[in-house]
Amino acid sequence: MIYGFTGVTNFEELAKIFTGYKITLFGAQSSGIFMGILFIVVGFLFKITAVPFHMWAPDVYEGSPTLVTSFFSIAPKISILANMVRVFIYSFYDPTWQQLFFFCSIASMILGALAAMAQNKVKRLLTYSSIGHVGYLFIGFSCGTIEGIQSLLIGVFIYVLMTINVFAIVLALRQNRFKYIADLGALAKTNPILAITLSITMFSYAGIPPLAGFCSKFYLFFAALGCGAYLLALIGVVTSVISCFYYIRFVKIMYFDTPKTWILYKPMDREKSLLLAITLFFITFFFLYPSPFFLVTHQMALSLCL
Amino acid sequence: MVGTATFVGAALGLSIQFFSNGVRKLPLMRHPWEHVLAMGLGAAFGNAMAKWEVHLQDELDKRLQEVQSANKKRFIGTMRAVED
Repeated sequence: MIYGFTGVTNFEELAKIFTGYKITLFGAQSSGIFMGILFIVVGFLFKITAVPFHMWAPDVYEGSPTLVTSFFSIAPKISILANMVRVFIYSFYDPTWQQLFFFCSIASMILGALAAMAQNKVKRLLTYSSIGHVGYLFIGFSCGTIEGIQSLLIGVFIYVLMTINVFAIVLALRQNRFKYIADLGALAKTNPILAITLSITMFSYAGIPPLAGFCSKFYLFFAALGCGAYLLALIGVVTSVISCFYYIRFVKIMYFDTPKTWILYKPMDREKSLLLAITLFFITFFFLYPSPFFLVTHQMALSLCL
Repeated sequence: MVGTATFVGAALGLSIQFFSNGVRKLPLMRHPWEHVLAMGLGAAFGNAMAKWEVHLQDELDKRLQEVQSANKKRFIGTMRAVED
């Protein structure tokens, strides 16, 4: 539809066409262009499992093989967010879409925090956790400022590494029938190092300092405060606190609960152990040396906005 | 600077190897040559990161300088140029 009404598909040409173009919720100079952009937005939101287009995610993530679920949790987030940044910051930069992304961010954060509390299955809980994280990432995206884009890029990278870590643990425990959260019982006795790894990753997801998850949320909330989106930052902080409940529940089950079934230990393979080590050390020590990462994301944000 | 990067990188590499053996419930010093390899790779990574950071900082400063001078040219004759 965009091509039909403008005759171009080049992002630069579209940016020139839409400079000063009036698009409001109740009228547009071209309703065809408005509908075209709306369809693109909805398509992207479906793919990235943002509320209110998230309903497919829990069932698909739970029913898929764990390897596929881990791919689904990581790769589309990177690609679709990069695509959205290119399309909506470069070509279709308009306050109308900002309101829509504000709403999606708030709804994703709230649903991700509240729905995950009721889950007993690991993959469903991780799905709702990823929906909540998409909400946090949308804070940076919907600001539309250089700081917002930079915080989004930082948030995406840290989210990817945390998710790789968690799914590596889920895959490592797969031989022991790891479907329900209760199956984690007594992991601290059977494999203390794995229990500590999962604990640190859960604390990072919850945004507890000084881990990497805290740094990503810190920059996202500060970007929101910088552009005047105080409500976004407030809801982000409140939902982070609420989400601590189900993240720390993992730690409680590992250290204080007894397992319901027999546990048979099978050794982990070397590749998974190295992956766990690298991601764990990044999550734990990121706060000591974040500068190369901040510099490269700052450059990426500048190249998009200037 | 090079010493710190090398030391920290080597320590990280060694820790990763210890973790890898520990999480697989193997003796921590199993296959000691892997520890040496990990320390070497870690040291190389640490030095590469330090060099990359310097390069990124230079590039960013250059980029910001270009943008600033472009802005000054655009705002000739306005209050902003007078203030600068």
